[in-house]
Amino acid sequence: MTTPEELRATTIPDWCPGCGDHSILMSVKGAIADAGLEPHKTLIVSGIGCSSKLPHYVKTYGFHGIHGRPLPIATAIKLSNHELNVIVISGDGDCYGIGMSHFIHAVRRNVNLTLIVHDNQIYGLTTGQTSPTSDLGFKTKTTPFGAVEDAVRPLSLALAAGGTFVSRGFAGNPKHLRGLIVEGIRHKGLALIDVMQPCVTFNRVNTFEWYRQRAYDLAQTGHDPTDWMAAVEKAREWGDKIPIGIIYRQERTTYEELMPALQAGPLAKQPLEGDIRPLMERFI
Amino acid sequence: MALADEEGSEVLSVMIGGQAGYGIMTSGELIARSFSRGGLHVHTDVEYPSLIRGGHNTYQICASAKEVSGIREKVDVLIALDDRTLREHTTEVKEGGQALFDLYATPIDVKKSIPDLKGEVVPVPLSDIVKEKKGDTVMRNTVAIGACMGIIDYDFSYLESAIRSTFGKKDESVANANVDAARAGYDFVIDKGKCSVRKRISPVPGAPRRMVLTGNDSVALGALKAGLRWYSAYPMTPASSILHFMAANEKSMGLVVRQTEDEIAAACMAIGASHAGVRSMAATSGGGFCLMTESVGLAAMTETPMVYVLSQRPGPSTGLATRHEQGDLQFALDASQGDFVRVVLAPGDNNEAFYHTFKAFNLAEKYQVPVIIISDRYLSESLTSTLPFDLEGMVIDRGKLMTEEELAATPDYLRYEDTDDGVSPRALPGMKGGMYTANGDDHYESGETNEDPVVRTKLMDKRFRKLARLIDEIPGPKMYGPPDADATIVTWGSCKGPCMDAMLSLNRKGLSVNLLHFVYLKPFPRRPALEQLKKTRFTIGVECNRTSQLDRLLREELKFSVDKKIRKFDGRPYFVEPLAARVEEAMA
Repeated sequence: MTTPEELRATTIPDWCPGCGDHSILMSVKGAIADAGLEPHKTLIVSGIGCSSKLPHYVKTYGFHGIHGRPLPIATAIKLSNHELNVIVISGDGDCYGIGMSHFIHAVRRNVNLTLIVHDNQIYGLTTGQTSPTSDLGFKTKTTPFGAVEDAVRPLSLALAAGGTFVSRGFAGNPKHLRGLIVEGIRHKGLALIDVMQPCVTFNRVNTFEWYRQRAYDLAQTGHDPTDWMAAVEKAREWGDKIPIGIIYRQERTTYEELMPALQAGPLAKQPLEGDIRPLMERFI
Repeated sequence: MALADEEGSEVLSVMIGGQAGYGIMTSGELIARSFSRGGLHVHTDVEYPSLIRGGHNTYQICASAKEVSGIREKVDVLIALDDRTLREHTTEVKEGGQALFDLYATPIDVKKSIPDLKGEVVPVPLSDIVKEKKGDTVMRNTVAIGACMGIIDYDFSYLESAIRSTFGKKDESVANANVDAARAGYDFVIDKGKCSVRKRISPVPGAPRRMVLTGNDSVALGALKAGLRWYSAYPMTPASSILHFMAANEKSMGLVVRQTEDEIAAACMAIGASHAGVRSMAATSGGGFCLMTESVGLAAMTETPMVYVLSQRPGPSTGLATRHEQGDLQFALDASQGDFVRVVLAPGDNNEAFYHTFKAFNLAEKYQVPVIIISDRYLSESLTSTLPFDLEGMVIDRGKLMTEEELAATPDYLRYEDTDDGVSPRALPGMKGGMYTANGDDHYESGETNEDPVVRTKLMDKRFRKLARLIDEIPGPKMYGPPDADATIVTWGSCKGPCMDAMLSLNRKGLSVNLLHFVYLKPFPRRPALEQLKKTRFTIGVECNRTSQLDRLLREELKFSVDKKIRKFDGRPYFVEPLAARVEEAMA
């Protein structure tokens, strides 16, 4: 059994002191331990941004790629070796901005991945610009008069795209988040965990306090996560009250189950060479 | 590739044309296969606009007892399934050629509408014959092919065999109906005595069985032979047929084939698969490759083996979506930001497409670099008869891919270890004790992100050190034709075929010309290229682009420039006769 301590990498996180990313990292390590994953059979794929430095801080395999593309990379890794537990770390810009189309497609494909999105409603690493999830009127360097675009609602999008595990966590509640990630890892299919993650440097509106005042645990309200219509209602809730926890959960065939080639075992472990002579014969 | 000898080689050229939806593609393939089954060499080209129905499609088939690798401008037999084909292509019919058309689908006063026709008109009631046979209107093409084989006095059995193998797979009754229709067209021209029947080509008895396939087919077979298990792509002409081929063989070859949301996903997925240890590839055309460009650098920085296929079509932008050009060489040579080692190669025919695609996978994995295979509309979609590929001695080389045992014996494993040859041993995710993070940010040998200038320099040098060994595996340009010629054609990629046939035709006229052809363009094979170029007296560059992109590369790498440049960028490949004339003119 791996402990969170054993999962600590030698690299020291360089996030700002007090950043929500620290508690997400702690929760990820805790969840990997709780779910009983073997580190060498775990792979964390990330894109670009503050969030995406996370793979370097966990002693598992990792892939720190390019902006917006962790989902296609992770999808192929999972299909190429489905014995691996693949966790995707992304941010609101990475996943819902530049990588939005991959997000919708990964959800509809129901790839067996755990997708954790550090959602701080701002671009942090590029020093404070508006993000797809910034609230209407939100002022940044690029929106000095306030954002004029309505925010993207990732949970609603995931539901519309046929998501099978749609949830929200809060970096200010690491115990809850850790449990949520365990559920996500155990889920067969794509598990979306959108995490409210305060950026303590560039977002002076959506602070720990701001989220804390609004967040409430759905599990305490009798919400039925198998009720899609109820989930749609809860996914829209964003104001004085914001639900956290599992909004929707359902079992559906996963992407890898639909690939005939994988029935013979992980693709990466199958013999390489195929016989092309019958194919050549067909051209004669 | 064996060269046709210097004796006059008779090439029969047949063109079939009509609207999209008339079955032009199938017809062209049937004609090509009929000739191939008779032991003849064939080479084809297809021209079609970017639409589904209507428009104007042509399929040209050149056949010869000798090898034929370039398309001819002139045709012996024109099969016009519509009026437009007749009007637009009459001037291409040779003196003594024949123009076959549907009697009732064409205006009655045929002669008036085609005053330039130097050949004979052969009206055949294609529609009536189809009606008599109670066949589908689209079967006019089969009747016409039958009639064509009749007027050139070519043994019907070869056409029948081609039809049976094309349609018989689906449904024998379809095959029978088509054989019947073709036979009716054949009999009509023979029996009615209304047109001249002339033996224009003879089968070659005892010739070896040859495949009839495209460059894309050859690339796909080369990839499968190399152990490809993952293929992801987004449809884009002229690369799409690779995707179709892979999808059709997904189950039998145990592949994962994915049509993705865009080319970015296609390339990133292929990188992901390769990272997990699966040989993968992504193919596209120029526009799609623009989207894949960022991933090329990702493969380089993470040192993930990666094979791209860039099948060119004319740009910029959408350009001519279904036409031919070689305008992306300079783009491929430097695509993606930053300095890194890559391999760029451009096969010139089916054999090169097959063997060098296979080699591309070995190079990608041995050196952990991206490899870009450049094709183009002409090579990708032209059918050429080719001997079944000889698979002897083809060995998959996975380079420094570690086993679990090797990894266990390496306590302080560093994924990006600074080695003598610049290539670091590669552990695969899932292996015990190899845990590391592949990193698109520059990094330490461990994979951890690095910002230190000394480490940055060291790791850049490490990645570039791969060149020292890689360059030894890069074949230089190949010289074809007579040694010590007065003039040398210098070309690359798919221009090889038309240049070869133009050279042979000039040699037959007594002109002293040979041909220097480049397949590998990066890393540039400087030494062998210089050796070959030193032997030349007068060089003529032939390229299908506006700015002589190979010449730009020669100037950069060797401070060498060709003496004369022949360029073409009208969206069509070179025809042999006008190319030969231009080379002759350049020599004057």
